[in-house]
Amino acid sequence: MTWLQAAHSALHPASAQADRVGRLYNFLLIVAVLVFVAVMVAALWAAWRRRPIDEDTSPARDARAHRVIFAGAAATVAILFVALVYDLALGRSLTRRATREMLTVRITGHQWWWEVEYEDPTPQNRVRTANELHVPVGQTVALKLASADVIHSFWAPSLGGKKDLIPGHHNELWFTPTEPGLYRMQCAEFCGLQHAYMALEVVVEDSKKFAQWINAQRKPAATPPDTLTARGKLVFESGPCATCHAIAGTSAAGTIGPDLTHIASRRWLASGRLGNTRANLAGWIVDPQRIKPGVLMPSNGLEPADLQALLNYLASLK
Amino acid sequence: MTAASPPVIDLPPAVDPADHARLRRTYEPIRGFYAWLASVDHKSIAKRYIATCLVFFALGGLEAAVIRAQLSRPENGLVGPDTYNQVFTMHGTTMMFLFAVPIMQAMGLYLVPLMVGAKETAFPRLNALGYWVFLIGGVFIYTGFFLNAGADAGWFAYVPLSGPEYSSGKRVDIWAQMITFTEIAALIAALQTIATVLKLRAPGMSLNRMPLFLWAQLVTAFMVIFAMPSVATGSLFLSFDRLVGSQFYNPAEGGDALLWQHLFWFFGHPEVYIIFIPALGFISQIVTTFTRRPVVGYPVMVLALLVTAFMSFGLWVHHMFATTVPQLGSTFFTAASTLIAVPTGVQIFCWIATLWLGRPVWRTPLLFVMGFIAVFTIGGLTGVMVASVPFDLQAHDSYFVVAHLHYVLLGGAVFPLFAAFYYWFPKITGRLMNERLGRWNFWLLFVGVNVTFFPMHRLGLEGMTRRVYTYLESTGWGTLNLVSSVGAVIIVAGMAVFVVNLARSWRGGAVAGANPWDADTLEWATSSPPPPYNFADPIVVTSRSGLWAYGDEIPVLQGLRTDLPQVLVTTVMDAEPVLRHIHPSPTIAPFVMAVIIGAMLIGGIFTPWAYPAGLVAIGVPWLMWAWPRRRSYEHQEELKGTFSLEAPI
Amino acid sequence: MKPAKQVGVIHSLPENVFGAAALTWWAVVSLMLIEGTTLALCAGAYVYVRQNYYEWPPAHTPLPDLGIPSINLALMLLTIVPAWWVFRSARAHDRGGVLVGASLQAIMGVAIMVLRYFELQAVNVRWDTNAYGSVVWGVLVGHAVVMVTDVMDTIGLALMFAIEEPEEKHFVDSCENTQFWYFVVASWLPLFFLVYLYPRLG
Repeated sequence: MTWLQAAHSALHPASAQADRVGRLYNFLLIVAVLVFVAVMVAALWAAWRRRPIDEDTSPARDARAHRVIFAGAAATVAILFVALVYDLALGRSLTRRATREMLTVRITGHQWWWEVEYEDPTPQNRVRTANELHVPVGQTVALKLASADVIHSFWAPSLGGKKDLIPGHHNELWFTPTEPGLYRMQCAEFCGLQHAYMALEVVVEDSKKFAQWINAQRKPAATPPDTLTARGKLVFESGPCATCHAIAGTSAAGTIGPDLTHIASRRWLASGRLGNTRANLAGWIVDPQRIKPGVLMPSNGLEPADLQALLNYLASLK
Repeated sequence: MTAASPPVIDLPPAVDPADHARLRRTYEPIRGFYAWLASVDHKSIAKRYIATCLVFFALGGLEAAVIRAQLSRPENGLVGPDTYNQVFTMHGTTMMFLFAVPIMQAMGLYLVPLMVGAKETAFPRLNALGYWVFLIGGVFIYTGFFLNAGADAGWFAYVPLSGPEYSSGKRVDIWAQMITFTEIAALIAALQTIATVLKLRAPGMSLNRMPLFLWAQLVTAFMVIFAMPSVATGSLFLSFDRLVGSQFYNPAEGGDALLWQHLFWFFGHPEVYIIFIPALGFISQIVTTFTRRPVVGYPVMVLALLVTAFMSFGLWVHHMFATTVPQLGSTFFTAASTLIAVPTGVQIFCWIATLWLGRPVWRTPLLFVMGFIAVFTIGGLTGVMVASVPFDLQAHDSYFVVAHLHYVLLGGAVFPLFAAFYYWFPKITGRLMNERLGRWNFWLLFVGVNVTFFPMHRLGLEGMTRRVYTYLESTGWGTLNLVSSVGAVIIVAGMAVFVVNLARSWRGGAVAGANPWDADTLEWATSSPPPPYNFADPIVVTSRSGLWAYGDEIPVLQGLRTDLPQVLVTTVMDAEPVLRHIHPSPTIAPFVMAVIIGAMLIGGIFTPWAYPAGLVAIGVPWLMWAWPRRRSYEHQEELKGTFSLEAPI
Repeated sequence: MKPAKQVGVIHSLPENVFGAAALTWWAVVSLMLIEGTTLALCAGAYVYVRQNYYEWPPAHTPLPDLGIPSINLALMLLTIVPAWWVFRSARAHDRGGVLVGASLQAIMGVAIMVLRYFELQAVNVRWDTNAYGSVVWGVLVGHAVVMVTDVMDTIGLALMFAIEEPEEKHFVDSCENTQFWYFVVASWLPLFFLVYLYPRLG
């Protein structure tokens, strides 16, 4: 499992907003390059030009220089004003809320994972998941940002700018994805020991696939098909797992850690740190501190048989 | 430590040559370690300050080296997250609080009295206090660091991460208290500078004849006075949240995480201009000297400094665009952040015009000025980019900003600082630095800075966020990080060359004489290094071009005492002589007071009672300091001196 | 070095001066700017936190008392008298007058400090109860620190004038101390309004 297929560059926009910001950047970049070249040419020419020994040193030359400087200042102001008008116009237009139907998702930042909750007027349709966000292409997604502990920041560069998740405040971010694909989001505000490994994958897909996904997510956890898997469910519910994690449809209702109802449907584990494979999951359950030192999940010494059963169970939670 | 004594030549002009011996006795009555501890000579204090700041610069550089080593490869295991978090926090904290601001002020503390033509700074004892407080604060936070209690919440320590709930132990408390130490030192230096520049200028040095360096120092000092209290207040609130359970920043009890950000950045934005504006002062003097003519457009240059300083207080919210600040408010800050490029741009145009109209002399200081133009302009242009909210929401907290801030700080502060070192080293030590090594120093730094930081623009746009101790290989960030780390090695090489140059020139450099560069400002009208009393008779300034305006003689006034340390006080606007001020003698009181302040502030991270206890204890050295001294002066009658109820301001 | 040419003499210039021509004035004014900014920021924090609440003081937090704070305010205003006496005596080189004025000002200053301690009880909220309590204490303690440094200064001056023949510059320092004391009192007025009267405005 790698992030190679997931776009995460402001230079590869995949949303209406990121695209417009990309254009602004290109404009500012061109202006910057031109200004830099002009300044350097002027500076180097001024410094290295050949000066005749009997060059005129009268004050009249100073007066000419003043005029040139004034022209330079005027040009600077003009260029900056153009940039400013573009900046402010784009800023205003991007903060205007879309009038169309928006998909609203509540994102809560935790040290060091992302809680994702799809809002819906019907309570049974609300979906709770973690570290993964699915959105239908072409529809505007409104993210309601909150934090459970410290300040975090939601940033998927290909999908747009970032906004901070600040405890005690509500913040909002929206984007309209235009290209199906995978996109990487990483926390952009220093939030402690594992700030570096706090990622989330955004999956942009066509509306049919999205509908399939969200319907599957709305269902409670699959009932175990065989005894080994059932044993795994028991290990989960009766052990420390249930203190922090929730699996809908079981007695595990912990809210400290990510919801695991459909963990097998996710590509990543540990907030984008590990690919979701059986081996990785085993390593993570047994010793999370080795993989993400400082993470709030404790090590779990499990009997090998229990571990295998648990892994079977978790693998069944599609 | 003094340079191996170069021959004493070129003493400052004096009508009566016997005054030199008298003044030397008056200004250096005792020698030895106690004298050093009790010294109130601004040059001695400033040299310590500069040396201490350079030590912190080296430490900050070592921290940077660890960062670049760790990030050179994906999933590198050189340091773990806890160590890394301390290292990057200490890197930023050291560079900003223990190096950049203090060294700019320290250069001022050395040069300002000399450049105004005064024998001493306005408040010599206070000056000593400022240095000792600074030293104790810096040693304090580094002691914490070496005891695994290094600050680890970032150099701007956002709450709630840095608050009592999410940062345990004393790490953040030590950091917050270090701010109090350095803020006291900075305010003391600012107070000095204002009084010295406004009241101790040489007769005839009216405000419109004042060198641009002094304008820069004056403007900066006022900025410090209005900006520093903000971070000090904010950090005291943080200390109290952590120590005694106040709720300033606790959203659960009506406090606000954003209150910290406002208090911090209201200081934090002017802070970078506090670092940058003195550098602009260096550039103006160096350009003047090495183009053999005054900078073009003096009134515009002064206005640019004033406008930049003023505007810098209206930018701070641009650090908070990703928070909940409303769009209308952000508009104002975008406009201000964009337009502040104008006064600085105008200054650069004036310097380029000066280069054009002058006759450049290619020595190392001028090379660093050219480097400044290149590197700082890039930083300024990316600054205009991040001034726009939509783009900033992409670039904020990513390596793009790391690139931007290093370009403006290295280009706008460090390059001018190196130019200043090469330029004023001869004045401070009496010897010139080596030109060939200087060129190597420059080119290695110039190449190194660009190789290290240019790729970071791209890394930021590719999604790499700040303050990450590592990254996964499949993010694709490995290559550019490696390039950047190679650049860091080049920077280290450049710094090494500087250290070698410093060491060799200290005792073995060519003897400089009073004015090796044939410069125009007053510090070059005395020996190198200056005698303890700087000048014998006050020099009368007749033009903006200082020394270049004199014929065969230097006009001076006669009448300051030589039996007591005395400076000439002049009026603010026109520098007309008004008062002969006797300034205080050396004393150990500032050192003792600094130790007590140190004990109070260090105690203050353990118990709030340290504060009242400390405040009371401060009374003792304060009395030592201010008590009427009858015995130190010989002529008690003359001690009464003459007085006047009123005098022109 | 070029030789010196004498173009004027300054022997007759005074060596001590009162007012803005002297250096001490500049130190004191700079300190006023610094402390003033700090107190303004404490007040700013108070105003900032206000917007986090519907009611002010917050629900279940009583209003601050008006009794002791008003007495303290009156006492502070009264100290202008001995402070002015110090100023006047210093300019007249009257050591005795300065001693009397400074002693009175110091004693009243200590009384004000004691009353300030009781004011902290009179606000009816602890610093750690909520953010309102924190910013109220922030304002009171911040101003108290500014005040205590000047009271200590005044005590020191009184001691100096009592024990030792003062130098010229100590007369100038006494005047500057008075100016700083005026600043201490003046800066309290808006803060008093903010903490004690503004919450009552409803």
